[in-house]
Amino acid sequence: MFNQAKPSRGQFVVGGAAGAAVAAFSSVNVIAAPMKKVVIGLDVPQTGPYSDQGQDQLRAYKLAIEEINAKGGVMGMQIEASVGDDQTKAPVAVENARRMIERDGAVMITGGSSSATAVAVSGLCQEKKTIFMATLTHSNATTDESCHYHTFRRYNNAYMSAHAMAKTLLTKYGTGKWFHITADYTWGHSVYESLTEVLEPKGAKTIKNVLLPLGTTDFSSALSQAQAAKPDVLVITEFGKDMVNAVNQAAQFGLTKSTKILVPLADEYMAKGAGDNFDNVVTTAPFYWQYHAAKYPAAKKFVDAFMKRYGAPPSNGAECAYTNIYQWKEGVERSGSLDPKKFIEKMEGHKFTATKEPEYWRASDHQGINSCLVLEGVPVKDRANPYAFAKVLEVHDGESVSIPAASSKCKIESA
Amino acid sequence: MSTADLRFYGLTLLGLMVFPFVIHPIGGYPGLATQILIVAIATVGFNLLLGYAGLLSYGQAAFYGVGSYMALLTVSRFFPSHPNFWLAMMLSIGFVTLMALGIGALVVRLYGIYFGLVTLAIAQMFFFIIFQWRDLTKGDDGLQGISSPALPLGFTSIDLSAPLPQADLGPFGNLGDVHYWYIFAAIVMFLVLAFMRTLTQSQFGEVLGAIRENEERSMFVGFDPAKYKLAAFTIAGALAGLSGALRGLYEGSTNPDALTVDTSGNFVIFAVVGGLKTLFGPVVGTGLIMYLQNVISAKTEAWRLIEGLIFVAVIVFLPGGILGTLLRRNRKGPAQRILAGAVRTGPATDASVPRGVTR
Repeated sequence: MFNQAKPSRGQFVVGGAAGAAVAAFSSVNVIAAPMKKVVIGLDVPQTGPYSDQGQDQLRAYKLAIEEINAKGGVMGMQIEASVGDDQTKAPVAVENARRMIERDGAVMITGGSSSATAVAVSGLCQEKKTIFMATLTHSNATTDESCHYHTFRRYNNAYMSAHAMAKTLLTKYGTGKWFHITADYTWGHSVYESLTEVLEPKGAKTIKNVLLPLGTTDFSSALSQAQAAKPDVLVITEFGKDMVNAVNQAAQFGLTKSTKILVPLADEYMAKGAGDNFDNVVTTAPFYWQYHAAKYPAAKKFVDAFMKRYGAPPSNGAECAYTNIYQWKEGVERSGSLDPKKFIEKMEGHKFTATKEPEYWRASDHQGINSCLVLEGVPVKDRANPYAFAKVLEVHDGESVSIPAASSKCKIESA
Repeated sequence: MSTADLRFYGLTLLGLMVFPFVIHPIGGYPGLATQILIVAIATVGFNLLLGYAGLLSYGQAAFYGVGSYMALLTVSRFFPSHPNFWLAMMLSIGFVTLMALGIGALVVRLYGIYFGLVTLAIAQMFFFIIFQWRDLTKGDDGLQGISSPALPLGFTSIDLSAPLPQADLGPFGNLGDVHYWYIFAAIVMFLVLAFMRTLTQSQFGEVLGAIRENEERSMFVGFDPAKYKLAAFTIAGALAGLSGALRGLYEGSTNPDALTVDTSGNFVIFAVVGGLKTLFGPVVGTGLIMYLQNVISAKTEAWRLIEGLIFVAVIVFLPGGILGTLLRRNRKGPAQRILAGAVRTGPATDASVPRGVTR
């Protein structure tokens, strides 16, 4: 059922009379009306530094779409996906989204992995009055200063990770010397600002922040500076393959043994790539399959279905992708139409329980308020499977670590 | 106007008119047509360098990228209270032209690999300036969400992002899918092609060809190669700036990616695949590769492989590029004629020809 969208325009692709006739005489097909379709756009990196994350999100999208279509679709419409490889580059992501909206008539775009792409696509979707369900984007900007009326982001943000980590770790490391290696774009800046904002008033001393462009493969100059500075904590704000490279190279410098390593955001694929070097590394995630599947039946159902289909558990980005499709479906059904304005009215403030603790969509900035986990990596020998990479240190309630609505820089456009 | 002129203008107009619709059945869409035309402006300019003057510049992205930044900064930062489309275009093209003139003066005396490397290095320098100057350019995030001002035409102004009236065209889509942006981009492309045609058919174009084929000999005939190369470099830079400015205003965003080596390399691939030394080759090459990048990438993850195979196939089997091979004729080109010392018929129009040239 996972077809590529065919060239067509309009929000519905209504099958011809022939389709109706086939449907009417078919004993399998319960819908005797012409099969309607609704097109959504999946804009994720399949190449580039964040491709592991993008590909895993794509798996989850496919799973969710197959499940929904098998159960009759969204308001009787079968979901058709228009897929694009954003190459972890913002201009490509925007081009893809434009194609999905203009050519394929997509009513909703979902995707991300890099916040730079998410923020850029969010701007386009606002212009095109198309819903954007951002998936893996962790920069505050997405729902803070760059928020938009048509954009929703359920994934945790940098502020949440910083506050969650700080709450768990301050007693142990709060007053030491901190050295930062940061990805030089909206996400990295956002994490660095959030972390220092929480830590410095508590007495942590920031020695240095080395900014490196997205897609850096050689971290040795930054790491030798870190080695010379002898920090108590080394924060590696890198993601995807960049983080794997950075942590593995940090191990060559002996830094994984001599200092505490923090990686503000990680997932199953990154931990797998870093292997034993991820031992003892502290990180955060909005979802961890092992923990949530053991605790919540809905999570277990999702993780089992995902494992059965793909032979590996879902990464946290995949979970967000899966839930985003269902959130969109349910929002459309609650509003009874594909009209974005009606959809947004039904989403704002909506409370629900998906694969984790009860959560809700905050009306003021369209940020999903849900829990944030602080995790600590375990060595490869202690991993039940290659993706069981961590133990849970603490789970923070979403409300307790989110940017307070009052201090948000988000000014959402009026409908 | 001669018959050849009429045929050229007529066919170009016709092609530009049907372009957004004929790509519909193969999965294209009018937005893609607009992007192709905008980017092709830079490729057409680049062809003057590589095709006509034989200069392989690896730095066109600097002009393209700076063009897009200048246009968007003019609208959003320099004159935020009175964003004006023409002003953004003029400042952007003006700045890039000066930039190209300055850089050109440094590099036109270099040959072969040195020319390529120095242009590459200079482009990288601009990349890092844009990347690091966060206060102005927002670094890697780029400028985003800047709505393009309407196009003032004196008596009225047009919102370029508005669609044309709805009219179903059957297998060729719907007229309402086309935005005014396409018409504007098509007009600019038409003017650029007409300019390029005049330029390359003039003595200027012939001298460039002569320099490419044999620089020493063209010097002996009395031309100053550096001056001609500088002119070509500046024109190519200005057109890249024009293309970048349009792209920036069209997208409402730009990003340091516009200045990367990848982007410079793209212009080389576009021009070579389409066909150097042909007027429409760069447009064909840009269209084909951008179509692959955009449409095929949605169908298969192996689209890079397809793109690579096409590039290799063109180099091996169609050394003149797609259009160059189609148009190849067994006659001596004007460049050969001028080198052979053939007497030019008709009055010379180029006032910049140094005195003392024997005709």
